[in-house]
Amino acid sequence: MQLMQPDLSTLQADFRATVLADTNADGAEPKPPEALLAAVNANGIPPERRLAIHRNHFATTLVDSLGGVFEATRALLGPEFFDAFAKRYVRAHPPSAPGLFEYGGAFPDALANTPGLADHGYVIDVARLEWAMHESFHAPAAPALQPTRLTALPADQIGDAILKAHPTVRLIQATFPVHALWRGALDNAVDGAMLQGEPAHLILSRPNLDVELEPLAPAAYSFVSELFAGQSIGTAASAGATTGEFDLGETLGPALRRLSLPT
Amino acid sequence: MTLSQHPAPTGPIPAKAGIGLRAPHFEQIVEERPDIPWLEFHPENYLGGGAPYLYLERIRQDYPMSMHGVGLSLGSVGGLDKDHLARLAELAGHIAPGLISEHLSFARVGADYLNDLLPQPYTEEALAQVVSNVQQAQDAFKRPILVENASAYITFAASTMPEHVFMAKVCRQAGCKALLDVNNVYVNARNHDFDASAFIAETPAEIIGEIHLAGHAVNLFDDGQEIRIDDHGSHVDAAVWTLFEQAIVHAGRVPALIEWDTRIPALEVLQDEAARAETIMSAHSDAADAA
Repeated sequence: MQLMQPDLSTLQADFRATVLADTNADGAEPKPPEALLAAVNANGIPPERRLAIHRNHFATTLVDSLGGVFEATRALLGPEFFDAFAKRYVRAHPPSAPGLFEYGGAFPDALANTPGLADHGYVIDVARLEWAMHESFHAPAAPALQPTRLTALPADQIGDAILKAHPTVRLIQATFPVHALWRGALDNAVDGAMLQGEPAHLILSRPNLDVELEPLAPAAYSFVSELFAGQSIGTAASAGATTGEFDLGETLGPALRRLSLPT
Repeated sequence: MTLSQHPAPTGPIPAKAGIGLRAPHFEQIVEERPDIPWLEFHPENYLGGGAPYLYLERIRQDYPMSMHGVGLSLGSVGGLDKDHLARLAELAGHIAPGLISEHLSFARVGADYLNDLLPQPYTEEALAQVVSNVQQAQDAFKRPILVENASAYITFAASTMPEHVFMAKVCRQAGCKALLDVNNVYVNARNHDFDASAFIAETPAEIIGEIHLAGHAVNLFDDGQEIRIDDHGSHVDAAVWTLFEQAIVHAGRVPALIEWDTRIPALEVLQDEAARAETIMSAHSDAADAA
């Protein structure tokens, strides 16, 4: 007797359940829904095996994608640990859009929420840096602020000007010297001394095709954080001066290409 | 390196052998402008508007471009993802590709994308859904698209027609064309024991608007059972070249494309594969011209 065939909606829902089901605690593959097994022709290969091709494809392609975005994080954690962690992650957090470049934003938080990694805060810092670099790389291009737009303002109005961050700008504040750790991880040259370095304040931007990463002094970081949060140049400069030694002219000049005027 | 902008329209896709555009070849294509008749891009990689998009915008000024989606999920129940479709339509508006194509498969279930080209049963129910989805896409793009036969490791007991009949019905009912992937035909024929040559012969010639070529892998399960995996990671198989020749004789000269997605080789390797396709196409179109 032939079993009743599931409708398309049930079939696709069962496919989803099969692909996203976690591997069993004993390492065995989870059993797909009976209705789906009955819907698939065997023809020499059991339906479970045929479905496993798609389970594997989903996991390996997404784990590879995360491994590409979080290359230094993967090196720090070790490829084996990273891939096993990522494999669980991709099933718990499937993509919500088809563009893989948008996938992985919640990955650093997932690492941070893993109890075993509580003593590895530097890895989380590096993961956040890598995601910020990835976002900057894919952020839309936009013209940078022309310095003359600002210098054309009457001197007494510059302080009131409100600027916004270029779309490719990301700010990173980290407990660990994340720039050195990231570079070191990619060059397989991380040493314990790096963990003792100063906290990092970085600004990322992509003037054209390549993401650039630059350290900022804490005062300059306060200034640009306030600016990008929507404060005027004058208010942001006060925040910078409160944080430490701060020179508006020196800070604003190099920052200009990372700014654009509000439209 | 700096990318300059000088506007020029991307022309119609010529009936020649093109190449799939992949990130490792961006710089070489921009700097050397190699002789390639047309390029195909996967829109999902360029939706952010970032560095990849800047390359695409530059490259489109020198080459006719075809937009080949992998994530629209034409088989999904309940219609297409409207947000994604709107983003694709916006990208198509900027790039103005000569052709737009997608797969006869599904990837999205509800809010989740399964990052795959998943198989569907060839039933009247699935046909009605795909036709409606293709029409939704064509309304957004304001033009007909091409739908590609997918590789599949699964067939369904519920299917009431073979894939090429399903594809022909989709084309007739939705007013689209077929993108005949001869590697997929061959992979499926080997995996599911049917005659690849008959699949091509029985596909109505007038619906075939483009042909895809790619390599595939031969994998073995633990018990030695063979399965062919469509990984686009090697040279086109000899048997697939033979099917390509049959398809060209059958459909006439249409745009053909070399796809290579895993273990991506030097651009020259892809150009050599395209040249081989071109030789086969020329042999038959010259013969047709002489007749």
